[in-house]
Amino acid sequence: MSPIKIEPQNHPASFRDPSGYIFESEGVLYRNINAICADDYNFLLSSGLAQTLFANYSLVPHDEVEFIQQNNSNSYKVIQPQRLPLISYPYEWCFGQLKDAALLTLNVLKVALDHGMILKDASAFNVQFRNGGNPIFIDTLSFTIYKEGQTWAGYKQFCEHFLAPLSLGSFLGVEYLSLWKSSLDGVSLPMASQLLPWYTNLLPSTFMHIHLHSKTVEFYSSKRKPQTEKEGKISKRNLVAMVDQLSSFVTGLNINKKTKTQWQDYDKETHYSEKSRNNKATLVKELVAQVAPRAVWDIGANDGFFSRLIADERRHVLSLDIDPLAVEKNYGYVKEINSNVYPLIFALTNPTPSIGWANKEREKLTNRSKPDLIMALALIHHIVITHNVPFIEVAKYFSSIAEWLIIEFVPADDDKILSLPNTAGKRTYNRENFDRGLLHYYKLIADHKIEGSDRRLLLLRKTV
Amino acid sequence: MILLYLDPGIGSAIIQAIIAGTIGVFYTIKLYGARIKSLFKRKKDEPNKN
Repeated sequence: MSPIKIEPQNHPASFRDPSGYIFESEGVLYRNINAICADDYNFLLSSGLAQTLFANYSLVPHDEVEFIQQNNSNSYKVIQPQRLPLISYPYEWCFGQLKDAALLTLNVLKVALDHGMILKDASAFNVQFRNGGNPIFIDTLSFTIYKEGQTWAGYKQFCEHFLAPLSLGSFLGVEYLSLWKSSLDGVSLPMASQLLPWYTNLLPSTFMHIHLHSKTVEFYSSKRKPQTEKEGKISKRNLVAMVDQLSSFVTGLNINKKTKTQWQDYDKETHYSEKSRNNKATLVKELVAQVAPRAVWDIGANDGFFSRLIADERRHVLSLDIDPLAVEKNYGYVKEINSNVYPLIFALTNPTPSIGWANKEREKLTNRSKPDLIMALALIHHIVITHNVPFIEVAKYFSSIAEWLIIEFVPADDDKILSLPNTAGKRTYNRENFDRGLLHYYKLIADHKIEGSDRRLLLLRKTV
Repeated sequence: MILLYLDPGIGSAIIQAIIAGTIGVFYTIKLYGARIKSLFKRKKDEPNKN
């Protein structure tokens, strides 16, 4: 194969690690490995670690490619990792997703130690999901050769990215996981230590890894850093014991039972008779088949019933909902049936922003996923009435994301509508205004009545 | 020397060494405890085998 010679575009999130970086060229994703990391990369392959991790899908597989980079004399090799359908961020994950990502990180670390390597870091951004429910490690350059006695450099990051938010979710409530969004580095230890209930000082794991850890970091942060390497030595046996202990601590963390959210029991409430629900499911399937999309956003997906209905091997669905417990339930189902559904926490009225360096490091969802179809079932009345967003604005935003739209219209005299707050949006909520707003950006392709109800299911296509 | 993009923090490294040491001791006690237990178990089981 002749070498590829194209000017690469470095990925905006890939600049901190001196070992290498991700770049894109002609729509293909590559990872450059700098010469400084050559030994580590070669050892990853020669020690059998990479093969072990590839075999159980713990590490994203890659191929080595010949790639001539005009501007990089430090380059050692270029690899082409298998591309995942979606890059998601820890602040879009539910408790279970963050917990599984934490356990995967610890497991990868343990396997690495078995093969004479160690992880350089413990960033939650190093973990992604494959087929919705399977966490996978994506950073091939996180591995470095282990030297007897060395500490795990990623320990503090692990506590901030995983342990602190999971402990808050477990001891206080899942709403605390949203603290992730205000920082690129999870939840700081002093903040977690301050927020956690007093009795967590009596529990060995939270006391050691969060409270005592936080105090020690604070104590030493004011001291000048000595230039020796004698700042803590750990035998491999003790390091492995600590990794095991962290794993069993994380495994034992569960969502605080007191957490109650608005939508968690949505499914149990009966808005539909069985006949209507079955008919709605048939109609959704038919309309989706008509569009034959490769990527779908199911907005307001709740526990993802309709997402799972339409997902298949060649079609992935982002199953988006504002409610962390609904996403949790959805993730539980997806894990069970290994579906091509990606449950994520997403607020339509306050979507995930682009954050980090130059507002490009961690991108907004619309930059990471380009769906062909948006599905908005039993959603628009909440947006128009509860949040006072005019129909035309909803149409404008949706049509900027995807070409096709499947939308459910709930008539103004429906019980569900009557129970919503009396806002300005409620006064103008009717089919006429719905049509006027939507048809400004779309043309109507199909309009079906859902049997046994007055609700309608519409298929719309964006007008150019 | 490993080039890191993040500062592992000296305080974090020190406390990690202490924590890992403590956990290591507990694990060793647990391990030997289990071995001693299994020794007694085997002795108890032996007469039944015969």
